[in-house]
Amino acid sequence: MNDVLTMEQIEFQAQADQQPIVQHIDIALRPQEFVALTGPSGSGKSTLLSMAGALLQPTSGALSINQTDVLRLNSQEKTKLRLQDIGFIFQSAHLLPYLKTADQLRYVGKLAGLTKQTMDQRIQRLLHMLGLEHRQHHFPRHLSGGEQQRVAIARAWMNDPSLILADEPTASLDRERGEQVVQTLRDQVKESNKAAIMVTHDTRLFAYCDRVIYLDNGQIDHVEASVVP
Amino acid sequence: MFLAWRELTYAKLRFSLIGLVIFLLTVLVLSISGLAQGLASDNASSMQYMDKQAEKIVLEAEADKQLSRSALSDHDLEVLQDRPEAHLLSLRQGTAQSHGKEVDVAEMYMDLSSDLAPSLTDGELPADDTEAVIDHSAKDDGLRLGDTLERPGGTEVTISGFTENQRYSHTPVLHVRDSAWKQGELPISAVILDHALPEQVHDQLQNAEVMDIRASFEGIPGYTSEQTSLQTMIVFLFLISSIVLAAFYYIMTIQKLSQFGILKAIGATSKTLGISLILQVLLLTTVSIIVGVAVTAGMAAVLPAAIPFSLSLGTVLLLAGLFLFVALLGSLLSLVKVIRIDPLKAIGGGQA
Repeated sequence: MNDVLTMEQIEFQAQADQQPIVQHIDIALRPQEFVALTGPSGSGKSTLLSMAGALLQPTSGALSINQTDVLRLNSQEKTKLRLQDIGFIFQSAHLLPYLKTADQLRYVGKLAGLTKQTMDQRIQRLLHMLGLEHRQHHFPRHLSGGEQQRVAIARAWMNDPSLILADEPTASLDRERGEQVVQTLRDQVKESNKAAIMVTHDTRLFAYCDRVIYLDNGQIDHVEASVVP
Repeated sequence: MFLAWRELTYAKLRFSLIGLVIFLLTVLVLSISGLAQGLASDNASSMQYMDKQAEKIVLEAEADKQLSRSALSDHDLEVLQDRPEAHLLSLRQGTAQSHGKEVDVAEMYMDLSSDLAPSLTDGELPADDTEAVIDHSAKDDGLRLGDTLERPGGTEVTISGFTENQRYSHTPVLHVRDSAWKQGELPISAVILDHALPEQVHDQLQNAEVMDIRASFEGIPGYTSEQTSLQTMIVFLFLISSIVLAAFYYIMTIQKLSQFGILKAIGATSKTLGISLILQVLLLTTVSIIVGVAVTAGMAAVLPAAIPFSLSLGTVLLLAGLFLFVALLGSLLSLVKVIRIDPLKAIGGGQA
């Protein structure tokens, strides 16, 4: 099967005469792979995730998502790529305060130009999958932190992306909720044939991942295969 | 529309406040415009009417555009008198008396069989020198059809009819037949021309100034000062409106910057977000303006007659259009901000 994400010798320099923030990064991600990205703060995790999400242009190296050479795309094409091929989950849920749960998903579907029928079907399926059916007519302020994060996951899934990028998705959750959310993520990756990268500091969560990439000082320190419980 | 509408209904209080401000500004601008136009017509409606019917006015060169001060020379009158496009006009301001009550009037003498003759609300044009017509606003002073009025010169006339849109210098215009002044009891103040004079005729004039009738409005006492002060207010109101709206939307956009960053990271384009913002501004402004126009119209209906107020549909549309434009101008600053926001802000713990 083809790789969802390939990074070859990726390097990022903020300014030409400075030490690169990340360098010599090689990562290949296949469908159904759930990878954790960890390391001390300032090691370049967020930078790496931003580049994988076509938000930040690498200074050098090769980057492709679903066989598309990201470095050749203009900003409009990148926005389209993010919309269709990438699902983002952020540290806090980042839901729009004025949209009800179902509308949070519907908006992303609308952006992608899905038909009303497809949208309604997907919304119902995703809400059911994440146990949010009874919450679909609630505003974010009426949802618990865990529920908000699950809505964010559903939103990331809405356009059926092949790559999920999660930036410390459990940071704002208690331990139990956090593990639930990551378990959901893992199940989704396996069931729906996606690939996912999750930035996290929480070592307990490594157990849910297939591989753990340790970053240090902008480089891959080592990679551990994780033992799935 | 999806986002714009849902946000409007969610943050009702916030948007109602902005709407209220736009509404109040609309009412203020419309009322002041109405007053400005009301005053203008109270001061100059007789000249505005002539401006509609004819094109040019000939005044004495030294009269400073002031009709009451102008007296054309015999030579110039001779040049103009028999031309088909020329209509002689005299003006005398003074006090008339009726039933022992004094009424300030502007007496006008002209050929009442021409197009310049005023239109009547009731009664008939004077049949002979003993009759006259006056602007219907004189009814407020108790004047009725058939009443006897002592003219400023001392002769008595019977009111045979009432006219409309015939005010000059905040007093009603009294139209008497031209034969009443043909004997030369009063100088000829001006000549109204249906169209411009041929050049060789124009060159024969010695001590006269030919101008558009509209240009002579500023010679009416008080006209320029009233209009400029009110118009200055209106210009400033528009300026204030655009700044207030700009500030409102700018602050709101700043508060939502990280939200926009997230949306862009998810895959919303600047265009989508910009359209959403513009739609919001348009919707809010349009609704507020419509309510403002309705309330102003209601206010105008209950305003006492002593306050001159006049607002044409054209003016309302113009002001409404201008307001919409100003609102859009005000949101431009926010639009730039939305376009510039970097989706990268979403990664690494940005707060929504």
